[in-house]
Amino acid sequence: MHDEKSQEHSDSRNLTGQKDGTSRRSFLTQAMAAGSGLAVMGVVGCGWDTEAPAVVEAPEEMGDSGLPAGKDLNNFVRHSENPLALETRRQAFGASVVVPDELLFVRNNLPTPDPHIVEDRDAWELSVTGVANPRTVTVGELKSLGVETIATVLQCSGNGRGFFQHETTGSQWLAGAAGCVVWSGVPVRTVAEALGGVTEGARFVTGTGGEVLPEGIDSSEVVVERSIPLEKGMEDTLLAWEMNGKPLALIHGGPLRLVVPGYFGANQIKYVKDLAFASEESDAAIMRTGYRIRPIGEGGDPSQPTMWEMDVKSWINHPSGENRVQAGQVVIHGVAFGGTRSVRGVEISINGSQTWLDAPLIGPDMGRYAWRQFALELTLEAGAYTLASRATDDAGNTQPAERLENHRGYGNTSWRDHSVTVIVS
Amino acid sequence: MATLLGLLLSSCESAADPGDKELMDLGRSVFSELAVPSCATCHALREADATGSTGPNLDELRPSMERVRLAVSDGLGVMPAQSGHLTDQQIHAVAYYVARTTSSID
Repeated sequence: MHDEKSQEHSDSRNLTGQKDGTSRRSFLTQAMAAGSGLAVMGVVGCGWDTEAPAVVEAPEEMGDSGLPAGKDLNNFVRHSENPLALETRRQAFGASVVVPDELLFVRNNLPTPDPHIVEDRDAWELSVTGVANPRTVTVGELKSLGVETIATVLQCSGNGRGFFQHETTGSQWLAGAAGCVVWSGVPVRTVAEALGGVTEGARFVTGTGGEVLPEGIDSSEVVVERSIPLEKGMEDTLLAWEMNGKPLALIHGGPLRLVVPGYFGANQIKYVKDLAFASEESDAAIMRTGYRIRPIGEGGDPSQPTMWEMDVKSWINHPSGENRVQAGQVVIHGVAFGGTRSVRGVEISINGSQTWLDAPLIGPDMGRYAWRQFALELTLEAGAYTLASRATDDAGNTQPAERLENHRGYGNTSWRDHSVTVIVS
Repeated sequence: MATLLGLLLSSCESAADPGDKELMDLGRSVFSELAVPSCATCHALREADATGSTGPNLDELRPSMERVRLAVSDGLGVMPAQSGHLTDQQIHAVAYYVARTTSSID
């Protein structure tokens, strides 16, 4: 199976050719190792690329409707209503690392389940199979097995899709389909051990979402079910019932969500109802052909890299480019993360990448899966500036200048795409 | 990159053109019967008496013809790709049909 082969490449390298050591599940790494023939644009030489990022128009309001978890529409771009897709506006991001519930983006694949499922949270049932003693466990029972707490970046695979030049289906997210939150729950490995251990031959952990599926359709076409490597499942994957110190809101997957630190959001199954330790990847469409990295014009296929580990990325939130900035001292701040790795450093350019300045990391380091805030004070005279940030992770991988071109517009980490143009006056 | 603006429909037939009825009939047939799963399973569309609620209400969404064409061909999220079993002509027809009946095009 393709993913096994890529895992055996012990010297797999990332997009910039640097040795990435432990990570074999970044889609960039998988793509390079598999020689998938994807068009990878090299770093453009010195000088600024004059092509403007693709302009994306905010969709018109689709009618007033109450938003969940105390969210105010002023802080979001609403890409769609059913299923709900809310993108956090850049200027709404703060500098305190953790994104509170009311600012966190929303992306659902199917309509949100009925709120009754969070009325008696502890009664929610998870069916566990592929262990010596398979059975159904309730959230209440899971809470008796243990608890761990972890801060992670939650990011949609399609974050940055709006910058791609070719036509793509799906929400045209820019930078705001991402946040950093704190989860509490029980490790999957603890649950497996409590149920007698994982059966031999298991190579994946598969989570299935508890949405009610429409009738008259093959369930495998629409079920939200994704598999992750067993090793990751048994490392630090959590079954979480709490986010940011409160019971996990329904809109974000409550009463129980699979949290896979450092992996893209699609794998972090909301209202998870089935957990299987399996020998094969799920054959659900969302796993088999969805969320695959493939050349523009090609269909999805299980042999293609899947959206598992995230890669190093950063962007500037302030100034966001939406408002004029007063000439004088300006504080430029933003976020940087390395997927499964810590951030080593961030650089900022204000002159079209001719020069890069080190941007100090500020605030707490909440672990390798969380993001860091960076901030730099500069004196800016009146004029137009293109601000860009570029992060490097602790394995030495640097955020690339260009996006990896792919059909569905996934995984955009291009610092050039995420740059902001600011008028200082 | 998909935008929400309607695109130029160089191949679009005017309302007075008898070909328009054929295209609409084919589009309706694709929507309700030929697509697998049928569009009506997940979408609401008044003209087709469809009341699906899994995906967006098309009368509210008012997608452009190009947006429908792309979504039906490629799929998105859990919406299945239909390019494997619908012909280009059928996809074109349902895109025209949906855009026309939701008044995204005149």
